[in-house]
Amino acid sequence: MDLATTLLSRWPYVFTIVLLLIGLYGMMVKQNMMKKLFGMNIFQTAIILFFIVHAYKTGASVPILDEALGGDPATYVNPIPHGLMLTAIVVSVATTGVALALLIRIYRAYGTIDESELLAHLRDEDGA
Amino acid sequence: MRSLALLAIGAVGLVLLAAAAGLPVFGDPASPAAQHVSDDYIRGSMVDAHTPNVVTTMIADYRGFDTLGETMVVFAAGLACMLLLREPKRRVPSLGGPTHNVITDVVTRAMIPMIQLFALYVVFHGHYSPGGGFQGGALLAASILLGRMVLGYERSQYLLPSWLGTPIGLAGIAVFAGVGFVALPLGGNLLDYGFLPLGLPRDMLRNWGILLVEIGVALAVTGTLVSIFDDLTVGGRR
Repeated sequence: MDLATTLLSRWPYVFTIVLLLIGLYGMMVKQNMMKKLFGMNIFQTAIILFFIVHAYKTGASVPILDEALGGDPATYVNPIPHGLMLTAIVVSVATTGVALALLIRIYRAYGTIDESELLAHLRDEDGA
Repeated sequence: MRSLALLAIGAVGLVLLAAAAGLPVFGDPASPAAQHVSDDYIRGSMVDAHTPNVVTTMIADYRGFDTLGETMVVFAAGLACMLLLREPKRRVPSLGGPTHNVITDVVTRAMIPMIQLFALYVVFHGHYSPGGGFQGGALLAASILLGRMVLGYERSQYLLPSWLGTPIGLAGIAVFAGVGFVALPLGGNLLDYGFLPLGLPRDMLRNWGILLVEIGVALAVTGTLVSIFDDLTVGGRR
């Protein structure tokens, strides 16, 4: 039961891994491209949470300096992952917009965003 | 095929779990990620830039170059949406549109200025509380998108005309890059706000530099998000 106790003290990582696998499942198994995109967003969320988990320090405060708390770095959580993920979230919104735009273009061209139907369509085009 | 995918996902999960066992304990103040620069940022934020919010200092000052790149990525994504979807000659069918319910109209019109006021607070108070350009810009965009969704495309143009989205995004990047480039002819490094010609002590100059950069980021995010939304919903119609 050594592994169990090891993982228990790292339970947020296990949570992010589960979330990541859900996203991976959506991307790999779902045939609808829109659902694949949702899967990718869940995957991104897992990575964002993974970074935020790294920022946490037990008993520490938010990374906004306060005279009442002093200047000891151990009293504030790590600001770097917070800043990195802040920008990552906005970038992920913008890239999701690009993905949606691509889906709209695919739908305009082929009338479907189902992967198997699309592949069949492309095979027909190649054969013809 | 499906079972193969499940098998692969299970294998990835096991590998990740094994890797997680080697990560630092949750909440460990001595974890490697919390050493070195992290401590330096927390100790230096007040001394270097007179800014209590370390996240703001980190984003706009210590790692400003990274943020400049991120802002450009956001803007590039907006441009990509425009190139993919705008077909000026294409007649876009009406989306059906909102039903112009008086209650939703009035409530939305009352809420939009409050959201915008809060967004401005988030941008300009980012030095002292959670906030900054990205969050404030997202809030500003949210207020405009609320109008787009509830009032409809035509009647929400007064909030931000669709043609103005991309230029505002570009103006935001110009503000950010402009503030960054000021230091170069004056003998400093790129994005060193200590060289801004404002006649203030160095830490206050960096404080002001951070504010200017955050305004640029807010403009870039607002303009780009609105332009992406307009491209996705109505495409080329202006």
